[in-house]
Amino acid sequence: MTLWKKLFRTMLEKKGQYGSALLLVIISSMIFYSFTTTGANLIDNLDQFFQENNVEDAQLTVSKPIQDIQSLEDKFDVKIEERYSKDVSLDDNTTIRLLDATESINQYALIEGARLEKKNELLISPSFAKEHNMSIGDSITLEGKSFTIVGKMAIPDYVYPLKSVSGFITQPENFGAAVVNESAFEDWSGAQLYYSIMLNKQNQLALKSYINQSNEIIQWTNKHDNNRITFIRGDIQGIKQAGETLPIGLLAITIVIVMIFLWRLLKKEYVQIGTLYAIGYKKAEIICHYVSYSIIIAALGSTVGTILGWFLMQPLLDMFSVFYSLPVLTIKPYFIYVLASLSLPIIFFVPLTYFLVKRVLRTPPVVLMKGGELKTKVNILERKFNSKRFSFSTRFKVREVLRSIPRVTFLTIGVMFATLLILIGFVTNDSFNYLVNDNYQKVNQYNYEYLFNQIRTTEPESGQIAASASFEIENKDNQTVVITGLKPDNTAIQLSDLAGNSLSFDSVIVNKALADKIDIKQGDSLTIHNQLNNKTFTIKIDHIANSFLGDTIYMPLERYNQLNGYPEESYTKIYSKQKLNIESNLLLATTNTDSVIKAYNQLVKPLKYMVGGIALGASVIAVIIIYILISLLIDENSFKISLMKVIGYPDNSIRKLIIDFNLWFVLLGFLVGIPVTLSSMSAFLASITAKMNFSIPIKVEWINIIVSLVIILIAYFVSILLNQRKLKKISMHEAINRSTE
Amino acid sequence: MGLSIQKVNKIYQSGGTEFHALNDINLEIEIGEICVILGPSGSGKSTLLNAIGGIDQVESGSIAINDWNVSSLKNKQLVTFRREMVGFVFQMHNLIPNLTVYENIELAANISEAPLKIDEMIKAVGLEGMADRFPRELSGGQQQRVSIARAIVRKPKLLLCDEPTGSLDSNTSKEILTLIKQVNRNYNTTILIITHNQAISQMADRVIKLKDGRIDSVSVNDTVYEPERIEW
Repeated sequence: MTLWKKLFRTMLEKKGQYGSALLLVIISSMIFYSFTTTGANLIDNLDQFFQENNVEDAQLTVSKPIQDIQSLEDKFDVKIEERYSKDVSLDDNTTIRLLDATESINQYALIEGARLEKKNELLISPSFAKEHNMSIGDSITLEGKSFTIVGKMAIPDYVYPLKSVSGFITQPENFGAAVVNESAFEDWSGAQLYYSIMLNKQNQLALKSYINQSNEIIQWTNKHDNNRITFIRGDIQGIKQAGETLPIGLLAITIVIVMIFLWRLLKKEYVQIGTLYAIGYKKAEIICHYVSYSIIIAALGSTVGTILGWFLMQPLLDMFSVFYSLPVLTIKPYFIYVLASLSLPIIFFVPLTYFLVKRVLRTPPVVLMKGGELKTKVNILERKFNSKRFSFSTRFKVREVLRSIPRVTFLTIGVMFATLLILIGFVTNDSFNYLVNDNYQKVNQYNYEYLFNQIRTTEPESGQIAASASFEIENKDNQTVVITGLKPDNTAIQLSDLAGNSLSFDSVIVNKALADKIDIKQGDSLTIHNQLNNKTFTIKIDHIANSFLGDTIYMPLERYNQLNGYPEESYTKIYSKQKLNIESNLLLATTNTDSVIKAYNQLVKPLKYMVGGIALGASVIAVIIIYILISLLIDENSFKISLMKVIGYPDNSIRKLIIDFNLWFVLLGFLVGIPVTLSSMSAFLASITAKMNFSIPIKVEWINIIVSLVIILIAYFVSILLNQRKLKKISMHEAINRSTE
Repeated sequence: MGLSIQKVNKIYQSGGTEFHALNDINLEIEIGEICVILGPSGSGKSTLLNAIGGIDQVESGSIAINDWNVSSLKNKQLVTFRREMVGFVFQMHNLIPNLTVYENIELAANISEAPLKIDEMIKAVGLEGMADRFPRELSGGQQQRVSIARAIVRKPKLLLCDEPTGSLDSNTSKEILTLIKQVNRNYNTTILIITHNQAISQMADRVIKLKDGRIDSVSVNDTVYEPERIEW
């Protein structure tokens, strides 16, 4: 149809404007489709992997080996498998954890290479291999024994390869997992033995009691408390959620931009619309024509974006599968996401543009043919404005604002959105920095944490003793919590309350992460269930500590031992500033805080680039929004500007009167953007960490707020500069011609 | 039956003030006539033309054209009426700037069941070889020719011309009026021309003078001049 030609030509004439809107839709759809589909594929692959390779339900460590596994399995309808593990140092900073290839629980999946056959063969986790440039066929020597890497693998209980089950940052530079045949452990001493369990019934308590009758459970970690198993899901949910929310925000801003284009186009084409009416075009045909602008942008943008999203999904999946040590078993296109990605922009755009066009077409054809209705009404705010007290310039500017409230509102909202985009990166960066570099280091005033595989009672040579284990809180969805017993004079852990006052360990202290998660306050009581020995006790919360890592309760060690029935002065942990010489067969885990911080700093390196990228993208969006609005302002005021030129106002004075007041709304948008960002990020991060054992406090540095403000101001002044030419181009003829028409 | 206007009134509200744009208008025009409506600015010429063309509505009275009672038509029926009965020619041509000559005419042909051939239209209005030009590449007179071709491609019974020569020089104006006359002759189209220009009334069968929304006079010309013979 002929009108289609007009549509495409109009778009080509304004390719900058329509192109930028199209680009925003493409970016939105690409992010939406690639991230949601990657997330869904990862979750599906994870579920499939866990199911096919039999992820454990729990793992336990006992003080002496379980003798009759078969009878336990029969009695409690469970599956139990021995698991050997040995940490071998490659160098001072790098540890490789060798695990035996299990037969029924936590079976490895081969990602690349060949399955294990010989005693000296080894399968390695992909992230560790990548970080240390290890390839299939390479040989490595571990404690004097030579192993050949025959492939890369994934194991369900190490999909998020953390050194400790309660860790939170993977450190492929310092730590990795490898699988060898069980026979490889025969020649080694110091291998740890623990058990992986798959439960068929809810009979954990009975099983634990039975084991404790003849043995002693030192550690029992349920699947949902094992960060190596659970963290990946939270991470992927975060990716998916970011992939769902960010594009919606972008689409919302794009639709407003497209509507502004369309509104301007409609205003410019009033006479043409009136002519189409006069020729005999139906209202529906005219509406259809103008709505087609947004349909084309939405349909083309979403199609291109979805296709690009499909191509982006593959590298994203590869990246995440290496990061998580997860095999990619199947890749599905997820038609629901294809459909959503294709239709979301259309669903957003079509109804809104339809109402906009319909509203314009309410104007009678005869008025349209005259170029629209002349506004004769004075709005109530303008009428109420007592202008006599102010100078001409102030009166003029205030009136401009009062006459264009929708436009300044959009400018404020647009700048608020751009601020949000810029600050998202900074807030993420600053919050993680606070969590690790500030909060983690402030709380943990030790360098080494040694966790023993048995309760100990002998006084250590050095270090500060503590005891900790995993417990369940009753009536709080059985929330798991780590309770740490500390001596009142402990200095290895330092806590302060929310007001910053130091807390001593002669009281029961709950950290903020847990307090927020289970919604408890100072003075509340909690009923605690010991997962190892089934004992139950009640504690009253004396303080809430400003600490966010781990769902943790701290209490005096003496009381901890007493409530749990452990020997007086017994302990399971030592905190130390120096490295201690403890035999490895006595230890369950060793944590070095320096390596955690180092790993974190490694982890946030790409985040810093991302922050820069987001800030750049946000600045472009800010420039687009401000540019469009200022240019609209000039278009609308072209007659007034022309007239002012005729009267003798120089360009600078005109700019001061008509444009410069917008700076206040840019600043307002920025100021509103700060709390909006903080509250939305708080909600977003809370939803991501809901299933994790830590929470992320929202922080943003003043310097980053100032940097964001500078970015917004640069965007504003660039927009002014871009529009300066437009202002200059308005000729005095416009006023003269219009007044003589 | 031709065009019959009975007791038509049109009132505009502006800032709480009523303005009587058409005041008790009665008019009869025969099929195939060329009728020129003269009057100063604000006399109601355009309002009357728009009301006849069904793009503006009147407060009271009736406007009937052939079997159509325009003043009682609903919006949808008005669209059909405009499609089947009316062609418009505007002072500022009102061409779509990013459509070519051919496409501007095609725009009207598309919504007609049996339009005239576009190429023939282009030839008829003297724009051979210019089919692919855009309006900005044409002179004012050439643009008005496109506007006429667009108006008549649907074979309207009534051609409404709002100041068709208002923006043109005298020679070009005569050419345009000649073209309008040809349309009248070739298709027996009833033509209403509104103008400030008294000279144009020489080519009319009927001349109506409007003043302050009322009919000042209606006269039938004894001698109708060919446009090229009009003294400007």
